[in-house]
Amino acid sequence: MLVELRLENQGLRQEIKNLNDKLNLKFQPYLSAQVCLRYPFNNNQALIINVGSKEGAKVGSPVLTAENHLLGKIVKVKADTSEVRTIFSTDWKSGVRIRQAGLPADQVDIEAVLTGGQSPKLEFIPADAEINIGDEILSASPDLPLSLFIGKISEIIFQSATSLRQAKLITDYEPNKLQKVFIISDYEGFD
Amino acid sequence: MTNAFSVFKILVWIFFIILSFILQSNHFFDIEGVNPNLILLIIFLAVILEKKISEVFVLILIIIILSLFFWPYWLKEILILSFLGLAASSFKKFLTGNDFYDFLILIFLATLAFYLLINFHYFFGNFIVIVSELIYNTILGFLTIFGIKNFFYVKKTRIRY
Repeated sequence: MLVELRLENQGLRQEIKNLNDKLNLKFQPYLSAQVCLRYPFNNNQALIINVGSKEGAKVGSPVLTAENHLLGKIVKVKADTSEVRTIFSTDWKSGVRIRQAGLPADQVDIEAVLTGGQSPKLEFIPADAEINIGDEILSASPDLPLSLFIGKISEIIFQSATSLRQAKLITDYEPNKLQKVFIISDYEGFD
Repeated sequence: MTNAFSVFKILVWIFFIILSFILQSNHFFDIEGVNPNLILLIIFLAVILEKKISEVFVLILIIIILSLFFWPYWLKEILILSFLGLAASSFKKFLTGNDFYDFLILIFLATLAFYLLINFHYFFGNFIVIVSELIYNTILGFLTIFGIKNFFYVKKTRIRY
């Protein structure tokens, strides 16, 4: 019995190590890129960056504004440039988790869906979930690294018709003024 | 192609098309996140000012070619604007006949049609942004056609329509 438990423990430790190796950004190489063009119409907020397949950019690579701060992911790659779909794009949807201010990342249990747009919002928040303005939004989508910081709750919207709530999200940067971003070049999600 | 549609006139158009691409790409007229659609304005200006559909077609072709350089990722958007421009060129005879009013009507309709065609869900979910752009496009369109009517028509510069 004791041997079984020890073996199981070893197996679980190895699994945690494998996951940490995969998710810990400190061990992942970054590519830095300049924003060279922003989507010129109002129905989207895509960016074009000056890093393409020659430098190692791939479709699906996560794009950050700073270490552990998620902006979006690459959706199209050409030789010298790539298109980034950001959380401000209307076609952005991803799973997120809400962390109450001050709590550690592993004590997060409120899940929601982040819907992109000029003013991104969180949807499908259970009505009984304890959320407050200022709570942090972390990535929880299988195609993105876990627990990347996305933004904070700026407003909570109560929907009387359903048992769910919505919330608006605010980021610590101005998306229209972004000039430099970072790409996690060797991330392979679980699409 | 007529003499009126001269090389000089095409060069003037190309200058303003490139200027529109640059200004729109850099969000130069962006107000509170609302960027006016300068390419839409230039296409519909061509629709109003150029009387022959073949001349409008040439200008739209130039816009498509230039978009491959300026906006290589967003050809679909340019093709939709081009389609709207050509459609308007064919149907403008059913409008008032007054360039000024027709231009404003076309900008109004084209802005709505563009977002309906480009992203149906966006159209209904972001009406405030669309209405803001609609007003913005119409104001810029008003200033543009007013300027052209007063400076190019009345003062009779070399560019005549």
